[in-house]
Amino acid sequence: MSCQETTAMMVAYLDQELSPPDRKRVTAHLVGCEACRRELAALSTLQGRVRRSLQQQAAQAVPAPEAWVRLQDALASAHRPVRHVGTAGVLQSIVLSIRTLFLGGSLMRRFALVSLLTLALLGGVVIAVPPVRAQMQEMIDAWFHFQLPGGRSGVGIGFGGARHAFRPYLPAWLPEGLDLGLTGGTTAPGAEYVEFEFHPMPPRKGDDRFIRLIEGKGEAVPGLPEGRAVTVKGQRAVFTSELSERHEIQVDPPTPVGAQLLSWYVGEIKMELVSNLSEEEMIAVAESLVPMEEGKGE
Amino acid sequence: MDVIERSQAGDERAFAELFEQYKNLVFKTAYLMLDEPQEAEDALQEVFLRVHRSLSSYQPAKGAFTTWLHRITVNHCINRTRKRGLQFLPIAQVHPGDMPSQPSPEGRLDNGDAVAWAMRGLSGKLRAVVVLRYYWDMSYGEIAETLGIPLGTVKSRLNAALRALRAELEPLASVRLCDREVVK
Repeated sequence: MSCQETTAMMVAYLDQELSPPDRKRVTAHLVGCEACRRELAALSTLQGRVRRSLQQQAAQAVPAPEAWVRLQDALASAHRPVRHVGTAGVLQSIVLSIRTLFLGGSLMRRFALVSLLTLALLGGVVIAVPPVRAQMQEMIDAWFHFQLPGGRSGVGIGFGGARHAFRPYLPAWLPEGLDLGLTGGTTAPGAEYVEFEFHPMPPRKGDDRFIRLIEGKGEAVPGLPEGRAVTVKGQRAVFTSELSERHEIQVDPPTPVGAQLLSWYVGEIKMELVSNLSEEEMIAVAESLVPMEEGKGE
Repeated sequence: MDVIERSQAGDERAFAELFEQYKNLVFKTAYLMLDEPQEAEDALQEVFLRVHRSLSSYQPAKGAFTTWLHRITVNHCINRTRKRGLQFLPIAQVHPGDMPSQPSPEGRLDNGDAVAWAMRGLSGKLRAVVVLRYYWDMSYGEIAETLGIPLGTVKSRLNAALRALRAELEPLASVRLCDREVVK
C-alpha cells in the first residue's frame, strides 16, 4: 500500500470507519512508515482541536428566551386567511398572458407594463364595443383564477383560438419574500409549455433567489432526466444539476451558479422546477402545487 | 402518543413541547454552521416554521426524527452560507489590516479560537460534515442518511475539510511567528 493511498484513508482510519481489511492494510503500512505515522499524528491532533473548538463554541450557543414567542407570531402570520378575489383584487392583480412568448432578457418592469397596458386596452375595447366583445370571447379560449401565498390573486388568460392543452399549476407555498415575477408559454409540435418565474418582490440587492417552474405536456416533452431520486407527494422525482438552455431564467441577473433542477410528473404534466433554493424548500414548493381554477364563459 | 405524533395531529401544545425539546439541537447546529448568533436565531425560526409546515410528511419508519430535523437544519444553513458567497475568504488570502471589523488571526490564535476562524473558509457542505461528525458524533452512515449523500462522499468531504483546515492553520502559525520576528 502506498503512502498516497494510506493518506487518503487516514481520516476514516482515525474515525474508526474503515472496513476491517482496509484497517489492517493501513495499520501494516503505518508500522513501516514514519512519515505516515507523523501525518496520522498531525491529523489526530487536528481532529482533537476541531472537537474542542466546536464544543467551546456550542457551549455558548443558547437561543434567545423570546424565540418561542417570535415563532408563535410567525406561525400566526403564516396562517392568516387568504384574501378573497374581488373586482378590485382582479384589477390589481397580475395578468398572465399564457401562450404569449417572452423571448430573451425580459425585465420584470417591462413585463408588468406591457401586461397592464394590454389589459387596459383590451378591457376598454371589449367593454365599449359589443361586436368586438363577441369576437374577443372567441379569441380568449381559457382563463383561470389563481391565488398565491400571501393573498395575491388574479386571473390568467389564454389566447390562441384553441383550448389550452392543460390546466396550469401554481404553488400554494413560496419561501418568504418570493413572488410571481414573470410568466410565459411556448408551443412546439407535440409539446406545450407554460412557464412561471418567482423572484424576490420587490427586488432586493443581494437576494438572488429564484424559482423557474416549467410545466409541459405532449408526446414531444422529454421524460425525466438521470439524477438523484427523491419523492414529491409520493411520486418519483429526480434532482439534477445538469441544466439546459431552456432552464435559464429570463429575468436579469443570469441564473446563479448552484441552481438545481427537480423534475417529476403530475398526471400527464411534466413539472420542472429550477431553483437555487435548498432542496427542502424546492420539494416544499413542488408539493404545494395546486391547479389554477378554470373559468367558464365571461 | 408521543410529542411528535401529537404535533402531527395538530396539537399546538405538543408543538411547543417539540420546540422546547429540540430548539438547542437546531440552534447549536445553526450557530456552528453560520457563526453569527443572529443568523442562528433566524435559522431557528425558519427551520421550525418549515417543521411546522411539513411535519405531516415526516414518517418515523423512514428514519429518526432527529435525522429529519438535522437534514432540514443543515440544508437551510448550507443554503444560507452559499448565499453569503465570498464573505468567507480563506485566511491565506486575508490581510489582517483589510478587516478592521474582525479580530485578527493572531488574536484568534491567542484566544484558542483559530480553528473556528479557519472553519469560516470551508464551504457549507464541508462544514456540515465536520459539525455532524465532530460535534454531534455521528457515524459516517448517519451523516450519509442525514445529508442524503453516499457514504463515499461523506469520506471525501471529511478528508477535504480536514486537509483544508490544516492548510489554513499551519501557514497561520508560521505567519504569526514571522510577525513577531518583525516586531522585534
